[in-house]
Amino acid sequence: MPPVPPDQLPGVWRADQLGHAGVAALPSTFEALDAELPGGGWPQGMLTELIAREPGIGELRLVVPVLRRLTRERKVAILLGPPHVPYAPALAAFGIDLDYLIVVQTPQAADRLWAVEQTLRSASFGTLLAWLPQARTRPEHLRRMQLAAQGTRGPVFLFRELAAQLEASPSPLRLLLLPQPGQRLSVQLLKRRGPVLARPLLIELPQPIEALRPGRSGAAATAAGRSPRPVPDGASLLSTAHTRPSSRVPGGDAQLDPAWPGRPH
Amino acid sequence: MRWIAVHCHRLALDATLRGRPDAPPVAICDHQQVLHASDAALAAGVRPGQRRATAQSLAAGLTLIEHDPRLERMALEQVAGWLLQFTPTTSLQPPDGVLLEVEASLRLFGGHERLLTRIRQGLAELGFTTRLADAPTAAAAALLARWRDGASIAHESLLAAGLAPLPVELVRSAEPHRDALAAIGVRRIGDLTRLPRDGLARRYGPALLAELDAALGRRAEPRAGFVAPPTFAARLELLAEVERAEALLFAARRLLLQLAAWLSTRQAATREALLIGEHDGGRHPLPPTRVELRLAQPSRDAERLVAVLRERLAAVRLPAPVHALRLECARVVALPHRSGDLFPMPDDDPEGVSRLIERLQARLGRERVQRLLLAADHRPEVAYRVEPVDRPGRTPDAPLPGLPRPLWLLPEPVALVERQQRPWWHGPLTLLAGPERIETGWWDGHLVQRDYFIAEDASAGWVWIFRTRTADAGGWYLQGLFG
Repeated sequence: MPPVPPDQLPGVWRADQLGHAGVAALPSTFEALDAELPGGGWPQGMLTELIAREPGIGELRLVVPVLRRLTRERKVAILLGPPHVPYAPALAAFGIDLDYLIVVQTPQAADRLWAVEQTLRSASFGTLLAWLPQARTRPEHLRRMQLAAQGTRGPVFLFRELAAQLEASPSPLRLLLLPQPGQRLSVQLLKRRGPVLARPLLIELPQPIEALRPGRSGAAATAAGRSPRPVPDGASLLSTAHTRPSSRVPGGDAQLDPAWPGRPH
Repeated sequence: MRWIAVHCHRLALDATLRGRPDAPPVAICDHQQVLHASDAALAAGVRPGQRRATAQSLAAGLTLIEHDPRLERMALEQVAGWLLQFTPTTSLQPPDGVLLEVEASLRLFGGHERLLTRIRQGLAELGFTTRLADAPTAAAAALLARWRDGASIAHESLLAAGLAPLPVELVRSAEPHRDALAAIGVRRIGDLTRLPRDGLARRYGPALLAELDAALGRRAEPRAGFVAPPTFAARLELLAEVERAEALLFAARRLLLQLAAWLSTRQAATREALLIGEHDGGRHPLPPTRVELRLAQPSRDAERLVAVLRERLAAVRLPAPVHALRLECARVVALPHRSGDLFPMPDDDPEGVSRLIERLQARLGRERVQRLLLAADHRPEVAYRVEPVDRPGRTPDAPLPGLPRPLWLLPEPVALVERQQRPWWHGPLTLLAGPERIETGWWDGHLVQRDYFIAEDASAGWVWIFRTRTADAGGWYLQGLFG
């Protein structure tokens, strides 16, 4: 019998290729990112670390497409130990079905690590988003989590602080996120099953569809940089139904700044 | 008809010891005489029939316990209650037997052998050692179980032959005549059935003949059925002072197994049960420690209850040692048994999620496992609600705001300083869009008069800030991050 070429063995890949074999993945919907991820998306049944300086830089919008897809498929998304309040109106505006979203609050770091492991062991979730306490997370915790994650079907995202990028980690996929001007996110692949990718990827973050008003970038540019001044009632730029009727200006819509600014060109 | 007889040959010991994970040397005594001795006591040389003092001198750490027929009766009823899940035709055979008619249940439980294995293992998990036998009549099954574990008579025509080798002492109504029967050379049931019937009745009374006829299927034997109690309450003596709450899990698990069987019998499930740890009376009796078990969804799965209890017990501090446990469950909901799936769907696992929720709630607290709801209010901080994920029923969601909202909301708005006439947060903020005026809430005392803006911070992240329009507390505040 001729020897089997190594690249046909399960779980074996050449270091200069992406290790697609045996990786089930959910598309991240960002084409540039999917092209560089083994399996073509967020890997299922293993840990993905998202490392960012602080919450709020766009890390949540990076995973919004996955949350939307899974909750609509009636799979449960679990947010474990979020740093702020996940804001329900914004989540719903992104099309995420709140019926399938569970938020677990764990003020104690030890409880959070326990809860992550329990959740991974139960393997009944669609996706898990966990914010790890940097000071208490040790490599052995991550190893246990990675072992437990292997029995799951959903992508598992661990949000970590900047200091984590220098630590060794058993997670097969590690991403460093940096905010960029114009609602873009620079994604540096610190670790993946494949060759080293030196250049960071530039990702355009999704924006709430209902509020997106294209063709308004000019108005946004003028609004940007302008020092704010008290807005007189009559000139309220964004009148909504709940403001006093007297503050409405006939035809005032024409002067509105876009609710969601366009990208600067 | 197919009767299974369950003979608890160590009932007195099991009833006393089943709250403990270890096997201490224990002897059950009646006044001055040892009636039963546990394995550890037997190993030390204690034998039934010895005097108390003899037993005590043989085994150093021996615990002597007074024989308590009430406790044994209670234990037998617990065994019968657990067995009811297999068939409604269950009856007690005091002092230490339970009889089940299982002809109609055999197919459901996967056949004769499997049913016997399940009964044996299930009762062992509850802490009862048993001998099982089965026969076409109840009395024959009871005789066989007392004779030899696993004995079986397959068909009615084999009853006489099957019972013949059994020693005559096993027949309860032959007990008073044991010496007389031995004197005439009757040692086995076969010897007894060979004797002329009328003479047998005349010499040893009609009861003996009646018992033989019932066993041989010549005479109908109506039996009173055992009925499950309407609410569940079971108690377990621990025979020790347990100081750590985790150590209660072993005994509590046995009670939970009984609860699961009781629920299964009633085709019901529960969301809550109450475990009560009794403290010793003493001079100042302490109120019992109560541990509530809550499930996210009604269930009758013992392992699920055990998993929740494990987390709850880890958080419980006992004010004093516990010497007995009670488990109570009064509120149940109907939950019919599921039919087997023709094509099982492995992917669909809502059960797993509610199990996970239960475990998390048991350790973290119910209100920490939340779901999010939209609320009809324009004030951002009250436009959403958080409630325990397992609260039954849900209100319909409010309509969405038509304007962009940040994914992260700060619990409290953060006041921002103003420098060079611009709001400042880790550097100057650049306003990108706005204002969106929100002016509402005058009716409940939380009036907000704010103009909201989307702004970009120095590192290109987007934040949601507002400026108050009320005269007293003007200024810039950060309320959200676009995440």
